[in-house]
Amino acid sequence: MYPDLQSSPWFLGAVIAFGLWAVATGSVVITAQRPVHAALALVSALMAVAGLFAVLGAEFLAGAQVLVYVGGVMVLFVFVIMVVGGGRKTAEVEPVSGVRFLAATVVVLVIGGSIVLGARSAQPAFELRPGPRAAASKDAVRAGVSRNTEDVGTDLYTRAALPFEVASLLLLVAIVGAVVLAKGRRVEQDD
Amino acid sequence: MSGPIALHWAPQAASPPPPPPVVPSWSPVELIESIGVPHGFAEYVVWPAVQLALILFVVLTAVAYLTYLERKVAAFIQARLGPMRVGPVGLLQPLADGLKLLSKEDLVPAGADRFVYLAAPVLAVTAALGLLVLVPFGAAWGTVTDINIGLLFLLAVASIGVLGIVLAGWASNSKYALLGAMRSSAQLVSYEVALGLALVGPLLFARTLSMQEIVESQRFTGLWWVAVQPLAFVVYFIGSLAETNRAPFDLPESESELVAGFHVEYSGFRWSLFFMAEYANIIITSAIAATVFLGGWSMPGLETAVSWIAGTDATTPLYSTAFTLLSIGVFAGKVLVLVYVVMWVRWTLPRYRYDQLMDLGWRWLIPVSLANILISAFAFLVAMRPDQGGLLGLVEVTKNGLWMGWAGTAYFLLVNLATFAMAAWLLAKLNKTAWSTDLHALRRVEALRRAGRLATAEEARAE
Repeated sequence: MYPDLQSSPWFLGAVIAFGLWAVATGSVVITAQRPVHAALALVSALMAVAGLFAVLGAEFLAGAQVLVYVGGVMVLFVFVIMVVGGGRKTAEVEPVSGVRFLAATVVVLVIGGSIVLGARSAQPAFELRPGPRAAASKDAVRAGVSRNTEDVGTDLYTRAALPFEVASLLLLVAIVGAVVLAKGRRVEQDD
Repeated sequence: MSGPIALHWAPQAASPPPPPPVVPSWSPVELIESIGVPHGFAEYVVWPAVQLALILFVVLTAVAYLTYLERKVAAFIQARLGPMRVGPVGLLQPLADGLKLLSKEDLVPAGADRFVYLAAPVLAVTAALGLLVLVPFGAAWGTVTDINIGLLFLLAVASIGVLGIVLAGWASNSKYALLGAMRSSAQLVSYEVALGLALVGPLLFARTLSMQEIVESQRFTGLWWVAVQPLAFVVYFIGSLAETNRAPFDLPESESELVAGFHVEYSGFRWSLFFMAEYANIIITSAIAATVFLGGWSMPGLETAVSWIAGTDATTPLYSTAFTLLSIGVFAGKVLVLVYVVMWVRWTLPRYRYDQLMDLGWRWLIPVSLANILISAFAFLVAMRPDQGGLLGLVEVTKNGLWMGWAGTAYFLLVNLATFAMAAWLLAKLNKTAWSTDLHALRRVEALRRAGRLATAEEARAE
């Protein structure tokens, strides 16, 4: 019916629906009184963002988002909340007076500023149409199945190879740090 | 054949690649359109709804009868008869169980987080059933939908189900449930890594994440990927046992230590939702294994069998129907065999201890699957045609999939058999020095240590 999802009249509706869902659950994350409820709302918000990715034609990113963040990171979040006792309501006291006002101002300025600046610039922040490679390989594609995964893979291992490797180095450093911390604690316990 | 080193004597893929195998074109969408439903509506709303209703009915019935099968398998392994009273040979037992569970009280323990407690089983079962939409049950119209990131989506949504278990354990406000939930989260995060890495091996050969195309790639090459990736299959199978909380990895619900683990406080229908999720997950992990490693709905001789029934014209409705139904039968057969093996394992092996579980995951499965990826990728690169960046020219990458002659097949079989043997030998060597399996010796050492501690305490008291 439509060559791709972006040219269908449902596209804008889907973007708005997922966006509203993300904003609604996101505000539950920061207003929920119990940490576990906040974590659940964060799961929902992450799903909404995955939905946005999927609607924008980045299916691989959507899948990876759910797999890594919901399946991995959020399970560990909930694990940590269980260990430290997530049932208690969070404290109402403000550690530093006026810090809430300051944080709210900074967030509104930064995010609002980005939105205003982004809307003013003539260059779109992201490209909705498929890239040249995707368009060139259309003949090998069955109707309705996009080549997003192949494109991400090719870009990751050619154009973005250096940042990719640097990121893996960062993760390696984090792993070594975690091992060092865990080892150190065990030696203390043995004494 | 102009490469860096063109080896002209190397056996090339014997014949030019064949055309892609036939896929019947007719689908029941045309039937729905013929009664006056507009095209888009018939294809994207009516027909998927019919398919989903059918699949839900069949899978939920299958889940109910898997509990019956499990009790029968357990009984036969333990030289008993199992359920025999309700209906002929106990066949109505699942129905009786379902009615009993529906009529029981839905308890919420005091001090539980009510919302999370009530939502957790729903989350677990939704994640499990949501996966069914992407399982390639059969050829042509036997599948609901097919997306670019099929396998990734399945793994991603399966990992949401973990949250249901973890939250159920936490929200119950019970020590045993909490312990079960904590074990579960650690176990699932560890085994998910091995599971994902194990699937990379066959993906090297399938060259796509779409479930339907993974099946088609095996059909085109004429080889199931388990033949060239035996190591990945073993790792995937062990990982999927852990991922579905099945024995020998059922630590989150180990009844001998944790009563029933994460669902100890649940009753009635919510309790049965967890079991629905567990059995649906067994079906789905078996279905993924059947699709990725065992050729999915394809089978040598399937086309011949169809042509006996419906002739050779692939465009007729009869051909399409025969093809789809037979392929669904083949797929169901493969999944049932795997499900039986899962049950067989449960009633044969004792449960792992927690440290053994972590040991198996991190010291064996993850290194093995990483090594498997490296060696398979290297072997694949070497075997490609020189003009496609390889060396030997034993395998040709075509638009429809991999084409390898007998030489290519033999090469991959040998390489992967060698990888299997090497990995097993090396890991056995490594782990022997790191971890002792001799329980008698361990007990002796522990007794000696204890005697030593007692002696020093005695001395201290004497002084």
